[in-house]
Amino acid sequence: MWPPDGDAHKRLLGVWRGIFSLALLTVVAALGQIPYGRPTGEAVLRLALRTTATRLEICRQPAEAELAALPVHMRRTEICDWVAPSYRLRVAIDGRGVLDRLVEAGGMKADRPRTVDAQMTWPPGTVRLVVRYEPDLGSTESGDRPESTPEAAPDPPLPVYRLDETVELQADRITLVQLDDRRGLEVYSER
Amino acid sequence: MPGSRPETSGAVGAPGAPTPRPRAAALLERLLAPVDRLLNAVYTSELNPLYKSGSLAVTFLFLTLLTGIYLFIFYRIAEPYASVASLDSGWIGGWVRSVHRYSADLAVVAVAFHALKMLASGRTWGPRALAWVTGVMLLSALLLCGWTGLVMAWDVQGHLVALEGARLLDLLPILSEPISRSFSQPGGVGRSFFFMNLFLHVALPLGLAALYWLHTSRVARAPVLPPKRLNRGAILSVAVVSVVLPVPLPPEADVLSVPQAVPLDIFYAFWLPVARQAPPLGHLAFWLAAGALAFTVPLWWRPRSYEIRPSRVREDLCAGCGQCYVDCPYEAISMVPRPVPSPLSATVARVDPQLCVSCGICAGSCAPMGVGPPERSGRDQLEDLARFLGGRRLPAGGVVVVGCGFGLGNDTAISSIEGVLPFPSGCSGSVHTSVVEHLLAAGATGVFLLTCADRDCLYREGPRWLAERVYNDREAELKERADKRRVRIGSYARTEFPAACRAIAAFRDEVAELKDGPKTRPAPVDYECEAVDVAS
Repeated sequence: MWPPDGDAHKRLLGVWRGIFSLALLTVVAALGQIPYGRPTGEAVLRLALRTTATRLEICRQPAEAELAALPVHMRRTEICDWVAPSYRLRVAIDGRGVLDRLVEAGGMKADRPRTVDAQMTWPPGTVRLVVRYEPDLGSTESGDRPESTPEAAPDPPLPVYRLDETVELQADRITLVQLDDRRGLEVYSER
Repeated sequence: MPGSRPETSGAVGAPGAPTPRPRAAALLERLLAPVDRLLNAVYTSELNPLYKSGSLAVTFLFLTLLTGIYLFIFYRIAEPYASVASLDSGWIGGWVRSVHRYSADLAVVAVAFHALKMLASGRTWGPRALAWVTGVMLLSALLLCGWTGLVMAWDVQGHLVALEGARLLDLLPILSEPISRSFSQPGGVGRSFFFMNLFLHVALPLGLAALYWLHTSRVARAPVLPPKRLNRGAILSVAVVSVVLPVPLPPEADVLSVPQAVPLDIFYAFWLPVARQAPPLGHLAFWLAAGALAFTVPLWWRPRSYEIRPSRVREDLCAGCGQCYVDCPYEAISMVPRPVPSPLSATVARVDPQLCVSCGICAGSCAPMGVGPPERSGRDQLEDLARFLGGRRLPAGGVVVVGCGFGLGNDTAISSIEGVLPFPSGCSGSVHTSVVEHLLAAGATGVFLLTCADRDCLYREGPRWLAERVYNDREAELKERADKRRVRIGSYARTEFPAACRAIAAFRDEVAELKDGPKTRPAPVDYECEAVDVAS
C-alpha cells in the first residue's frame, strides 16, 4: 500500500536515514584513506651527521703595546680564547661535487653539537661516494671575541672524517651516511 | 492581506534591518544551503547534524577516548607497529581501532562544519570572540592529537607525518638538535621518541577538556551531547562502518625507504601534499598564515554597520524575580542587591554589557517588561505592534505570522500565502507573549510563531523559551485569557521554506474552522506590567 501509513512511514524513514548515514560515513572512511604519492624511481642519499661540541682553546702572546693598554692586574703573558671550530662538509658523487657546506656548532653560545641533516636525490646505480668532513678554522668564529685570530694549530688536532666508497644507490631507497664520533663516517642502505 | 507589507519600526527583524553578521556570511550560507537542505530532507531540522555539529564533535571525541583507552592497554612503545598489527589481527582489536580512527576523523568533520556554521551566522565576534578563539585552539589541539595518533602506529603514513612534522619543528629555534635526525637511525627510531609521542597523545585530550570548558564558559546550559536519537544513531553508524570497512593497516615504516603510495587521512594529514612540495619555510608560512587568519576572525569577520546594543534594566519595573537571569543564554545577567532600596524586591537584574549579545531573550522573559535591548523591550514591542496595526482590527480569517527576523520571518514570500500577514520580529525568544495576546485581541484568527529550528537559533535558546512560555506557563507566560488553540509555534530552518508555508496554510485553515472567536481583549499595558513574583 502506498503511501505507507504512519508507523510504516516512520520505519521507512528510519531505514532511509540509516542508509544515508552509512553512506555518509563510507564517504568519510574513503576520504580517510586516499592513496597519495607514487614511486619516483629515484634513489635518495641522506646525510645525518652529528659530532659532539668541541671547544678549542687558542692562545697567543700579546704585544707590548697591547699589554701596556691593560690595567696592571690584567696583564698576562698569554691570552687564550675559546672557539667552537667550524667544519666543512663536501660531498662528491662520481667526482661531481653535490654539496659544499660550512657546518657550525649549534646553540646560541655555539656549545652544542654540530649536526647535518641533508638529503638529495640521485639516479639509481653504483656510484663512487666521497664525503669529506674537515675542520675549517679559517671560518671559525669565537663566540666571545670575534676579532680573535687563531695563531696556533690546535693540540690535539681536530678529528677529520673522510669516506671514499663505492655504494649501490637503489631506487626508492635511502642510502644513509652517518657520522659517529668513534666509528667515523658509515654508509647504511639496509636496516 | 496577501502582498501587504508589514509596517515596522526598523527594529531587528524588519526587512533590510542590519544583521549581526558580515555580508560574506550570507554568501557562505548560500554555499552551505544545499548541504543544509539535503540534511533537513533526510533528518528534518529537528535532527539535522549540521545544527548539532558542536555536540556531535563531543560525541565522536568521547568515542575516540573510550576506544583509545582500550588501545592504550595493548600499545607498546618498544614495538609500536608490531603491537598495532597484533591488535589488528584480532577481530575486536581491529574493530576498536577502526572505531577509534573513524570517530577521530568524524570529530574533525563535525568541528569543521561547526566552524562554518558559526561563520555563516556571524557568531564570531563581540562577546562570542572568546568561543571562536578557544574553538580554533580546540581544533589545533585536536589536529595535534591526531598527528601523534597517526605517528603512533608507525606505518608509512605515520612515518611521513613524523618526517614532515619534524622538518617543520626544526625550523623553530627551540631545539638544539634537529628532530629529523631521530628518523635517520639505521636501527630504527628510539623508544624515547615513541614515549614522548604517546605522552602527547594522552596528554593533549586533557588540554582539550580544559579548552572545551573555556569554549563554553560564556554560554548557559551548553549542550554537551546531541539529542539522544542522533547520538545513538551516530555511534551505531560508526560501529557498523567499522565492521563493514575496517581501517587497513598500511605497511610498516622503514627509515631507509622513501615513503610513498601512502593511504592519506585527508582529515588530519591534508597538509602533507603541501609539505612535500613546498620548502620547509613555505610550509611554515602556510601554517602561520592559516593560524593568523583563523585567530583573527573576530577582528575581520564582523559586520560594519551593526553594533551590539546591550540590554538595559529598568529598575523601577524589575521585580527581582530572576527569570531573565535564568533565561539569558549567555549568562550576561546577574541579580545584585538594589543600590536604592525598593518595596519591589531586594535584588535587581544587572546586565553585563561585555557579555550581552543583544538577543532580547530577556525581553521575552520579563512579565513587567522591565528589561531588554534598547527599543526592543516588551513595551517597545507593543508599541511596534500598535504601529503595525495602525489602530485597525485585522480582517476576519487572517493569520498573523510572527517570524524570527534572523530566520524565515524576513522572507517576504510569506505574505504571498493567502490570508496571512507577516509581522517580522527579532529573535523569536525575545517576543513577549503579550504581543500574541494583543494580536488575537485585535482580530487575528490565529498567530503563527515562526521560529528557527531548535539549536539553529542565532541566539541558542529562542525557540525553546518561546515554546515554554506559550505552552508550559514559563514566566512571562501566555495568559489563560488567550485562546491557545489559535496560537501555533512552527520551527523551520531557512531551507525549509516550503514546509513552513504548508504548515502556515494548514494552521490558517484549522483556525478558520474554530467556532468561538478570540477571547476577551488583553489587559492594558500598565496592568500587564505589574510586578510578578515568580517564586510563588
